[in-house]
Amino acid sequence: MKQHFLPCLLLFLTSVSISSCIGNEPANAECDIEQAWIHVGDAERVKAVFYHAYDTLLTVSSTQTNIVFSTRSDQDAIISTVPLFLETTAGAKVFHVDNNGHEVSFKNGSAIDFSNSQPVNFRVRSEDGHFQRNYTIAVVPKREMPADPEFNFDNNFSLTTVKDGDIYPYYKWTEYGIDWWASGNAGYRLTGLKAQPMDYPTCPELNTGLGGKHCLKLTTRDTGSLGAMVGMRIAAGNLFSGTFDTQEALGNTLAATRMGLPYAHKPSRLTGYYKYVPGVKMQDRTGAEIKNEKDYPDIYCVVYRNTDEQGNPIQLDGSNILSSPEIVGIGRIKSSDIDVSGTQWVHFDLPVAYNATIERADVENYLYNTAIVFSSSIRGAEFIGAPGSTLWIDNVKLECEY
Amino acid sequence: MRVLIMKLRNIIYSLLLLTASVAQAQTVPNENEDKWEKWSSRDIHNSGWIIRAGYVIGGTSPIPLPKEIRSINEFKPLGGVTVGADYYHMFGKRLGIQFGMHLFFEGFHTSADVKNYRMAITQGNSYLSGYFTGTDVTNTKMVGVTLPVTATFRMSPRWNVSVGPFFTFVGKGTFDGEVYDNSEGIGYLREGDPTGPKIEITRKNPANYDFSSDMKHFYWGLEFLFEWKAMQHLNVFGGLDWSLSSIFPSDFETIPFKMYPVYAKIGLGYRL
Repeated sequence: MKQHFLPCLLLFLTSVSISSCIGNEPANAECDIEQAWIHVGDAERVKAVFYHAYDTLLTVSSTQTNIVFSTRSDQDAIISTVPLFLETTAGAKVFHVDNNGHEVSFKNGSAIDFSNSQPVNFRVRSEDGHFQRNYTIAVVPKREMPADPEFNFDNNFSLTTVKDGDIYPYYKWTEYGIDWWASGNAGYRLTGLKAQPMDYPTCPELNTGLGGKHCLKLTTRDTGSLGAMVGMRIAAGNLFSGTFDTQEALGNTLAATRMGLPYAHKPSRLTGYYKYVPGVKMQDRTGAEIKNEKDYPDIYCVVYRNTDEQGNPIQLDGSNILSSPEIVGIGRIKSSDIDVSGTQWVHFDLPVAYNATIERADVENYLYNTAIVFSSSIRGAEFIGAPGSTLWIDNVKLECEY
Repeated sequence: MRVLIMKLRNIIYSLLLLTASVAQAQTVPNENEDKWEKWSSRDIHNSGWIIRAGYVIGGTSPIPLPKEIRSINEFKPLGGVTVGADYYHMFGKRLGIQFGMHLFFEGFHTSADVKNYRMAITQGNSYLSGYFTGTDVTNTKMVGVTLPVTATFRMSPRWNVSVGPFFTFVGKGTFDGEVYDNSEGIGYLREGDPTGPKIEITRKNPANYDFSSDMKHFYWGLEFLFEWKAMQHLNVFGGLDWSLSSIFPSDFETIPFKMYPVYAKIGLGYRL
């Protein structure tokens, strides 16, 4: 047996060294607030303060550091000191940062003074101690988007990033002081193409709009090699009322475009101006050319119920915004009506057709969402389109019945 | 991996026992010096050729394993063949030298769970970096030629141990794979650093990578070879090629660890 000793020893040592290589689990490096909720009292009190019961519990996205609970705006809805609860990534520690910048360890359920809509500062430190994030949490009356809003894209846009210190900013729009518009720009940023702000699918175009002012420019872009790696070869330029969830940007992309925001008015028609030039090569998801097919833009307004019978929120997204049974009204441009010359501004007027009667009181209690959507490729959500397709939009108005 | 090594060990055991019993049936235990004489090569110059063929198993791995690798779910060798010839020369009773030229085809498929694994992807103009938590699946294959130069020590009449450097030229290498969620459904990239945007990556839409074109065509390391003379012309060998250089160039930042090919081999040699 001695003769077998050496190879056996060798193999034994190899196996031991490989299996013992898995070291202790490293401490967590993440320091996010993932959920935040407040207790304002019993169900009746919740109803008096909030439009929806679920407004007391917020799911916080990884790119969000300003957490806002939106309340009704009347006197009864004013709150001051309430217990706050935070759920963080495992092992992270939360500190309440006072006005002097001092950190005080925060315990779930501690009473926090949210009076006068003042944001309260928090800091979260990761379990491994290497990372930290600063958050603000505020309870403020819901900002109201007025009836008959006009969106002329002349100003109200600014550069933004998904995180501090990012050197690849892109444009976003804020209307009436509200983050009304979202786009897929945050997703396009993940292509790692180091795009300049004006190279993003969704950007302003200066001095070419109606009356020589600015306008909105949506372009279907090639997403480069990384985009191809994940089977998303194009990114259609889009702008929609809603939010973009970066977390879903690579996995379930259709779910990333969360379309529609609560709106306390009843839209009757969506009007505005567009110019459109389709890209040359229409391609499918694999990048193969689709012959004899042209690209078209999409413009529509959808109104849908945002709360189910059990009181749970309903948020439509790119997968169901045109097909959900929750939809009560749609106004959409017809592809056959599209002027593809791209030479002049073309007026569009899309009446919103309702398939159900809706109660004014429900509308005013924010029980319906309104989604306004512009896209440079009608099948962009399936990553089918023609790179270069460009849709310019200007002077949009959402006319309301009330 | 351990299961595999144990399997391999069992195979070696049974092979050795088998050949030992065959050999012992032919030999009558004799005086020590006779044994040395009996198992020496017979030619005048005490040198000659050995032709080898064997099975190769192993992988390319950071050494030691970084703590970000939490578990290895799957390890499967792909291919794994070596054929070649060695020229040996014995200077005396115990010491010799061996030059070899071995063609090989080796590879592996592995699936590992990682946590906060720093990675960067460069493809054309695109560059994305961050920390990935989830499952990482890697496939690699290499076809090439290894040139070992080893010193041979004759430990006993029938046992040789050879140690020395080897130099490998990879004719064609592939290194590709994909990342997605682990068995608990967790799979995401924190872009930039762990405070960056969290991007979910799922099995339904995994992120693929292919670093084949980044692989080096040359690496070197140390070869350890154990040989046992089962019969006058036939020997059984087992050994290890432990690379001391990474298969990726030092400026390759996509994988922040040096990746060392480490392959064990087992086979039969025939002394001409």
